[in-house]
Amino acid sequence: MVQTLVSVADAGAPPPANLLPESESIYRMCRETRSVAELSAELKIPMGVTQVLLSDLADQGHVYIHPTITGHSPSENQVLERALRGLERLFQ
Amino acid sequence: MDSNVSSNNSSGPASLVSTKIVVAGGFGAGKTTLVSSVSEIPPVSTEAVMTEASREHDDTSITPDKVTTTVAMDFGRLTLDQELIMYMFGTPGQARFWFMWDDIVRGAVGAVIVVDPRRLADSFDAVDYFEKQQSIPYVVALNKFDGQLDYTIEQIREALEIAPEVPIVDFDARDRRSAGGVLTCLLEYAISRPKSGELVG
Ligand SMILES: Nc1nc2c(ncn2[C@@H]2O[C@H](COP(=O)(O)OP(=O)(O)OP(=O)(O)O)[C@@H](O)[C@H]2O)c(=O)[nH]1
Ligand SMILES: [Mg+2]
Repeated sequence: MVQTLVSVADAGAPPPANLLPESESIYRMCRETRSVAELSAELKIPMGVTQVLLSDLADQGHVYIHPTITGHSPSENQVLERALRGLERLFQ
Repeated sequence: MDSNVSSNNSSGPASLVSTKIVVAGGFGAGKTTLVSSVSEIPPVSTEAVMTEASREHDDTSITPDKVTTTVAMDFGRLTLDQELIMYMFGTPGQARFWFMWDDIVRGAVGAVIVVDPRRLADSFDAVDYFEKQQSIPYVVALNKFDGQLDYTIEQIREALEIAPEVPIVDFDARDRRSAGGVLTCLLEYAISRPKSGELVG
């Protein structure tokens, strides 16, 4: 999804060989944790393309895809509570 | 390796999770203003290339039957705690893009519909979209634009056919705390709503 965070396992490692130029740019940016939307905006690669390249990189074990919380299952309510506390702290 | 590269991710990036909310509403209602007021990063306008079915009559034979449209959208970020990031996505105002929004809206914890109370009719499409969605909790935020509200909140609820349980609040999109209060209201509402797993007949 567009808000999904992605990062590489080892920020010091050089990009794997034989990547597409776009995939290599994505890999380099993922040395810091980034969202799909940010990667797409900064590299000017359409969101849908970014998603495909990322899932290929993840399949090969080059990047790690972080969980996203949608709040649609009761077990996620705890995270929503954390989000609420964060908002209250920021905007009280 | 490269000992000069300092990547200091003290919180351990592997434990980061993200979540998102969507900011919708009519043309010029204050969506971009709301996202800019609360975001910790300068508002980014990211472009989504979306595929749209083209109309048959203005096609030449070589044109494929799909065209892509570039749509700008607002994008903001809030770090809620060390391991939790919330993104805000503002949808474009033009109603003709709404049918392509499913990809952006999917997986959102909730939505804010920004309404300019002087132009209620411009909000019909957004309200209609989220009333039909059902799965995504939304709140309605009336952007006061310096003025008084000409209608009561219940009159506005009736005019826009907003379900009785949906919170309607008034706010000032330019004011950080006021805009943040709308997000707080959305999260409180999202938490209070029964989840699909606990629906009882
Ligand atoms: N006076 C006043 N102006 C406002 C307020 N909120 C927004 N505006 C102005 O109204 C105009 C439209 O606001 P935007 O935030 O760009 O609206 P939008 O919903 O993003 O518009 P589109 O993306 O074009 O659909 C801008 O010029 C804002 O500066 C407000 O509370 N008071
Ligand atoms: Mg805007």
